Amino acid sequence: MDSQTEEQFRRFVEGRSLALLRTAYALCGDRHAAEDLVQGALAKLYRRWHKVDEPEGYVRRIIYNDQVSRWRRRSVLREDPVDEVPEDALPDRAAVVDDRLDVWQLLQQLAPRQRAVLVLRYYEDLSEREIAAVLGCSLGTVRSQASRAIARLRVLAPELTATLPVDGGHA
Amino acid sequence: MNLEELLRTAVDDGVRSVPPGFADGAIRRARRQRRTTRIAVAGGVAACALAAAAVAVVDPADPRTDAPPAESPDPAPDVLVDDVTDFDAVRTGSVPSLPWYADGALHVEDTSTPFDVPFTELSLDRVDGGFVALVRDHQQGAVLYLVRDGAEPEQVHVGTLSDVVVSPDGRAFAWATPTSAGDGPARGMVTVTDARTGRDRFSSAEFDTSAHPVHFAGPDEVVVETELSGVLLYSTMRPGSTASWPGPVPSDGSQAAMSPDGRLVATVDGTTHVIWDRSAAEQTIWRLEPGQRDPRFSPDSRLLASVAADGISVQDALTGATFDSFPATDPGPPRWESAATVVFIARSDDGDAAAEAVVRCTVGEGCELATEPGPRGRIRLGD
Repeated sequence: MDSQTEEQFRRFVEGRSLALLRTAYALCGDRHAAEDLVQGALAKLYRRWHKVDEPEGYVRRIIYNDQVSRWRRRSVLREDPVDEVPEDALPDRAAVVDDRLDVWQLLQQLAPRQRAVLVLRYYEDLSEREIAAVLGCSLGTVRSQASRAIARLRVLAPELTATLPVDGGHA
Repeated sequence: MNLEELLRTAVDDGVRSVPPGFADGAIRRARRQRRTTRIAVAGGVAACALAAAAVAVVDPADPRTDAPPAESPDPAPDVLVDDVTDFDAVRTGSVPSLPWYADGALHVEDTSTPFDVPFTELSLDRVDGGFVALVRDHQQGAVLYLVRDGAEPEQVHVGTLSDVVVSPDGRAFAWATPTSAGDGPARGMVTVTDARTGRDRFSSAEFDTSAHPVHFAGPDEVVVETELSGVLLYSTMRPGSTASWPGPVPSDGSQAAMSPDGRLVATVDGTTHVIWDRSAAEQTIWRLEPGQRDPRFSPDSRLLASVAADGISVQDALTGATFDSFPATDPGPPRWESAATVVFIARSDDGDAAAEAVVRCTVGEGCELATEPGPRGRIRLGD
């Protein structure tokens, strides 16, 4: 890669890294893991910079794929979300003073696949079909996971009920 | 605030800045990956040299021959590579998860089923518990076989017939036969066969035009392209009923591929491939470059692989933007093994003109061989 092309790559990284990091953070829930995920995807982009027409779309897809691969290696996508989340895992409601923190804490209590479905649907704005493709599962699974996740959030935080979609957010 | 806004605010608060030197770190990481590849190759060469030296001195009592020592090929690097034109520089990974034919047997992953049937052309599909093999032979004409895993091939149909399409769950396959003979008008019939029993599940009424199945829209719905009546949707659950396929249908050329979600269609008219979006008002969304052929949509409908001038091209299915490309010599049609991985047959450009193998390339990663190289024409790759 010549210096001019490398400069283009650097400009892309500087311009888009924050958004990419946020996506990765929303998916994996860990700041350091998110940085590793994004930097790994950017390294792959660097090697193919001259071949890729839409760098951001390329990097996002790599991020999705790599994160799903990590989940698969840890078998977390096969967890039964209903059994995995203990009822007594509720945060100390009195201690929660910030809605924003509240939402993030609640998401952390969902099973990984439920969290991923919500993040991809409501943060990444992907359709259910796209989510199914990203997570390598059926459309029905995406819908059921979304419904369970929303139902779970209603239980965990009844005061958020008004903000939650009524049908699991089918689209 | 709704859920979108709450989530966005929470995530945005969680990551407020990018660590310093983030671009430098990505570049260093990319260069490390490249260096690893080179080291793997160089290490292999050094190991060969040491091994050759050891052979020369270890056992002087061995009978001497004046023949020059056979050259050890450099071992392939243990990493994926971008370029698969030289097989010696490509590692061999796992066998294809798609079906393939080689050496008188049908293979899928680690299982093989004998298939001792002569053919000049073979079209192969994996179905639930076996294979569907459409054989064309100079002497026999076309024969459609159902081959259950480990069992003898069973003939399903002998005579002229269309290509075969398989349902998403692999439990049924559809094919068409002409029903008129001689100079009469072309007529045809579509049949759906149960892949587990070999029995016909459904046969359409005779079309007053030639027809062939192009796609399963669901486990029980077949999309049929007819010469005069356009594209029709058949439900095998409601024999006798047909419906026009919902949504606009490209009128130019014939269908070369359809995305699994049914939204995108690739048509070919002569050598021109056009990608259509059936959900958009402006149907034609992009065209393949002249010379590109054999388009295939990825299982998630988001990417399109095709044969390009210098190898296999992978593009965004909606925009045509290049996603990746894999230089290869004389590649065959690409098949998607997963949402990010294509396999195809290619030839080696390393001086061994006869070598051919199945190659696997993963978007964003690189390529490896999926079968050992062998003589040309030995392997056929299926879906």
